[in-house]
Amino acid sequence: MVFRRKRKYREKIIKRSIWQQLPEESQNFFIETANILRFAGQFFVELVTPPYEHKEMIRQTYEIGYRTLALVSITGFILGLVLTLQSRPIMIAFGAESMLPSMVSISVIREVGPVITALICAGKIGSSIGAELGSMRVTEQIDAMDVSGTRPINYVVATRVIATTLMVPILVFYADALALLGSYVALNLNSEMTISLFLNKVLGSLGFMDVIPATIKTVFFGFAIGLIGTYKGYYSGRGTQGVGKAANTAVVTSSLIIFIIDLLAVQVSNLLMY
Amino acid sequence: MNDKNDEYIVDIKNLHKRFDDRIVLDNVSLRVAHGENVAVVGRSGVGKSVLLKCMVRLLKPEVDKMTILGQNVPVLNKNDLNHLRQRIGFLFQGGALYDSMTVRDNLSFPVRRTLISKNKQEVNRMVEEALDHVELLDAIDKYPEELSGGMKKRVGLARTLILNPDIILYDEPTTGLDPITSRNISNLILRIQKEFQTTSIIVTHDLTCTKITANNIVVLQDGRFIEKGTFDDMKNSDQEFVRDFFQ
Ligand SMILES: Nc1ncnc2c1ncn2[C@@H]1O[C@H](COP(=O)(O)OP(=O)(O)OP(=O)(O)O)[C@@H](O)[C@H]1O
Ligand SMILES: [Mg+2]
Repeated sequence: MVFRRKRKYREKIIKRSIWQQLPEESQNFFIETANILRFAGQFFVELVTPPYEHKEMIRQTYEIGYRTLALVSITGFILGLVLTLQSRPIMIAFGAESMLPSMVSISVIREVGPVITALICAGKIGSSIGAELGSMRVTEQIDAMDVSGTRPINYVVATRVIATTLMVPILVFYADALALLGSYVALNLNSEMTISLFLNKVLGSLGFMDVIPATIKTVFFGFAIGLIGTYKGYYSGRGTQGVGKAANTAVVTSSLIIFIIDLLAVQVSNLLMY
Repeated sequence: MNDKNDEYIVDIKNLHKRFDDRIVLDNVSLRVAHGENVAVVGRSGVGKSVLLKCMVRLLKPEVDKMTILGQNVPVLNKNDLNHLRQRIGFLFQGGALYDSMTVRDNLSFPVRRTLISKNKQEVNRMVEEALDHVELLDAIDKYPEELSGGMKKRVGLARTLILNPDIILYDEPTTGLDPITSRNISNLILRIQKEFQTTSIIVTHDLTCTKITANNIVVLQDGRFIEKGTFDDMKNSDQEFVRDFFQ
């Protein structure tokens, strides 16, 4: 008994020392990652546990879409426009001007559209979720839900994460469409091209493997934005400063995660394709 | 031994709570019998709110023993804790109203999400009845931001009462109210106790409220209870601080 206890003690010391050798930043990184994973676990548990708050979920989805629509429209349109204008001289130099619609559409659908839109959503949606939940935490509203046994993760978190997971892909589709429109407008600034020819070229160049991985990727983007936003808000620090920090770190962390997901997605889809 | 403990709705032994290096509660023990109203008084910042929060495990204290309604609070799993929490009413010092919901939704929220019967008319009736208790029926469709501080407090109270809890923890139920409303609320607290045999712990600075509602008073100072007894005991306490407080 004594012996066993001693050994346990020794193991503990070793474990602790490895852990302590890490610089504090990386310790925090691992702790944070573990916490987020645990939070995600709680989310999935609550996702399948009744009551299901359809009404609140639909309200959140609508709100998110409504609030981001204008921003996404403008950026999407400009994105397509600028991409086309920028690539045109190069394509002409290669004598491949006719490939311009295909090139733009592939880069928009595969990469630029999803990532830029997701980043905008991270800024707009992530910060507002972080701030909203943060102020609910600070004014003890989350505590009040907790102590009345009404399970705030089920009501507050799950509905919002589902909402972003549904809405971000839709917004990306929409932004892609507007980017293509922007591209068409840019082409017509310099030369004439009918819309049907443009669409023909675009659709002809897009394959299944351009659209599907990009779409799946956006679902993860949406999930990450919702999860990180709610996580940061839910565990926000005290006071007004806590709310600000929650909103801020929600944006920073989810933007970072969007790039990581993007990197993973390109690796996975390349593996599957070739 | 078990039988004896079951008499107490709340039984706390040697509760200890610190934030980092700052010890807030140091060796607090408290027993509350069924149907009793206990007032916890003490100066601002001594840890009264912290004590209430420890009891519902919003904060995690070190404690030798803490049973509420016969349940061993520190070791409860999530599900059991939720069930226990549904039987405990908690009035937050700041009201903690859900500011995205109307008063009606604030009150129906806990009902809708915890009770099995979800008949809409029944829920509405409960909401109206609870609001009637705090004389706020005409604010039913307002948002919290449209209410005054005192009104928020009363809505918070109504929301606490609506689930008919077995035990209610009030965090300063009358602070910031005018004397008349304040007395009405105190009388309401007393009436609830008499009518439903509810057990209550009332954190307060308000001596009128203490006098009206409490069967027993405990005084919190420097992390421990320095005096226990009835209102008259307090006035005749041999500790100067307590006498001063109850002057
Ligand atoms: N979450 C927390 N983190 C750190 N310190 C805290 C926390 N909550 C409370 N405290 C500290 O604990 C002490 C007691 O706080 P508490 O809110 O319980 O006081 P109180 O007795 O309710 O006062 P009041 O009558 O003003 O409401 C305070 O000094 C406060 O700074
Ligand atoms: Mg307090």
